[in-house]
Amino acid sequence: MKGLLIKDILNLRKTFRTTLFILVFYGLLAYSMVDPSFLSGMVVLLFTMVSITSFSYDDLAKWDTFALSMPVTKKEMVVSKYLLSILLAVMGTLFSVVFGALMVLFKDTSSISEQLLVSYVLFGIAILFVCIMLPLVYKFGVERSRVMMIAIFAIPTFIAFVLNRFGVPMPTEEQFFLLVKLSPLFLVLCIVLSYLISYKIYRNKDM
Amino acid sequence: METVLEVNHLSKQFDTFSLEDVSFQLPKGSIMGFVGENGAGKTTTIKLILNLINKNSGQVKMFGLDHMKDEKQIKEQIGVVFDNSHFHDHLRPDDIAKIMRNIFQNWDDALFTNYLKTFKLPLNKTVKEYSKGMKMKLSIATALSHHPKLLLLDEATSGLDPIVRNEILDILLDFIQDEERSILLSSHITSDLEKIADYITFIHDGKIVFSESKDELIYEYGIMKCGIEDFKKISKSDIVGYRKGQFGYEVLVRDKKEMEKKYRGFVIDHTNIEEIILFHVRGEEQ
Repeated sequence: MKGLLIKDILNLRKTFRTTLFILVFYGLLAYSMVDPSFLSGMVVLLFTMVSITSFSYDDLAKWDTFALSMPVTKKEMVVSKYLLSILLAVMGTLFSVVFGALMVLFKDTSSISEQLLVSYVLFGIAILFVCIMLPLVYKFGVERSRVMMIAIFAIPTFIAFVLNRFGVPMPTEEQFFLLVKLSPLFLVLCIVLSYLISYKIYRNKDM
Repeated sequence: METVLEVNHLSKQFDTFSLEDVSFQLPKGSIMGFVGENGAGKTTTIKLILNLINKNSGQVKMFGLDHMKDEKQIKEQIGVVFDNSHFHDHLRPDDIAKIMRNIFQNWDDALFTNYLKTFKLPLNKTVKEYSKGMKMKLSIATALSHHPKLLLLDEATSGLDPIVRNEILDILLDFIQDEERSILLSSHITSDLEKIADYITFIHDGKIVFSESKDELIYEYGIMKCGIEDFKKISKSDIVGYRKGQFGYEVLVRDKKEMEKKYRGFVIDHTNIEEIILFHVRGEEQ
């Protein structure tokens, strides 16, 4: 398991460098803008997407066939990808916290607690994204699920649109905080469920 | 004789191809050549042995352990090399060591470094920059560096030039020197197998045609050369396969000694693995 994670991290070295470069670029761009809050969302998303890249590297090398000829189980293969994705989401969130702090410091737009809340919500979205994305990657492969990814991003917007249309009011502050408090449990449930689906797909695959 | 690998009645159905009732045993301390045309089922068999493909029926045992129940325990003790390198392009040998150290309990860094040196593999280059032969040697070095007791090689020498191939064959011969370790080597290059294999298992169209000791095969089979008149005299059941040439027939027969007695006056020549295999396949087409 540790070996698999090390493999992914070694492979993603270059991708990390590119991602950091993009961040610096956008950071400079954001500094010149009035409301640079888009950056927090982007950083979380960028990092989460990196885990999908690790799947394409594995595909390219036909790594899975070889890995499974070693003392590595299919379960460990799937668990390692979930760990990697969560790790990347955490990293992205940490970056967004740093950005948030910088914004409070230099732009004086909002308070640090507000920024922390934004980062946490983004983290939750990133985890949900991972939970939907990974089973799709296992089922359809990286290339086809890339297209589906666009659809996944459209879903929340669509739901918000529908709710608004049918006159469902926006949650009050109280309701919102209740949701935030309940969310860790919800996220853990999502991860477990998503993992079980992914593992079931992967277990029956011929290599 | 102790067997290291035991395959019993292994079957797998695909839409367009099926592997039927594959059985063979690999004795400890020996090299088995697993030979057959492209698409005969060599890779499928090896993948089934490794439980990479779900079998329909049959049993596989390695070191007396079941390949599904004791999968992890078995895989700690075997080294596997496929026909292509499976390492990611941007990895360097030291990266591979970092990964393998955390996968195999018995991973031996010193041994790996030693193999890299013996195989003259550059340490500062990435897999992407390696030649095909270097990639194959890197795969073999990796497969050997956790002290495996059994090596499974799938077409590991195909696509390489004769010099590199010979180097690899020497490495393999060296590997079984202690008589504790064994190799299953699939290939369609029969000359390679002739050089190093103790046993030959021939698979054709998803079925095992024979699995015997190489020396016995060469001793037992013979090529009978005759004209059309003589050819007609040979009983059909004695013909394994034949080839019609410009000046007559060449017939592959089994049980050379017996045939010499039965067909007096016929010339029966020695043969080799390649001919035995070719005639087997052709014989079926007649």
